[in-house]
Amino acid sequence: MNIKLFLLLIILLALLAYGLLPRTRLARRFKMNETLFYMMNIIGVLCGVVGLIVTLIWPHTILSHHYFELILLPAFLVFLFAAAVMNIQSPDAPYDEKQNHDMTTAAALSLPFSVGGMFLLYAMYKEGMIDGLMWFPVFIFLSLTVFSSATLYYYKHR
Amino acid sequence: MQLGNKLRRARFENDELTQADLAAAVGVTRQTIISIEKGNYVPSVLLALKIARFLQKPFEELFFIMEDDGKIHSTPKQERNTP
Repeated sequence: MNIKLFLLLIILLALLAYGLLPRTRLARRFKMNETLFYMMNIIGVLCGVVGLIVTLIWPHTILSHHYFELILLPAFLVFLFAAAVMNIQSPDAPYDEKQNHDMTTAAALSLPFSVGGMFLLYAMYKEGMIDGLMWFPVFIFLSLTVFSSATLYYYKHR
Repeated sequence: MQLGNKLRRARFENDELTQADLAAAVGVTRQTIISIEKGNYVPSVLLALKIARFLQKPFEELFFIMEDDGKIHSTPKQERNTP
């Protein structure tokens, strides 16, 4: 099957499930708990790291063959599932105060990393070392990796 | 200067309440209770008050200011009433 069609189909099915989940009996079974919080961030780290490695090894094919979207798909699905669960459970306060605090700190940390990464890419682009379009996957995967790993670290160790 | 607490002792005095039970009662995750007990995370006033209310302890008995040299700074009752 064409990879574009496969991705589109999965995304459509996921959005359909997001809309239908609150109306089913299954909705009561799901809870926004620590396991889901860990799962979201672990999958975020895995997708981010795999994405960064693939982008650095095959910079041209990651965009032309849609590997970029394919690698991001698990993170997208788990975040969408978490969003659906939050929507069902407690839309006002889906995370507890420490989780909020840890994610805020992780976001503040991921900003300088992303900006630093973009400066580095810009310098490499000016020297003709890389393709200009590479900034997008690198930015997404770098932010995802730093944010998710920092959230996990702060949550567990602080 | 940091916030100290006697949460662990208070849990054990409260029928050996588990961290998970306390977390569920005050609406946070177990990891949050662990971090508060270790002194790694300073809870919000609201959460600290919720914990004190659930454990049926005065706030000052559960949470206190700890000086850098390890001394505990307690607030005498007569001081609290002075403007």
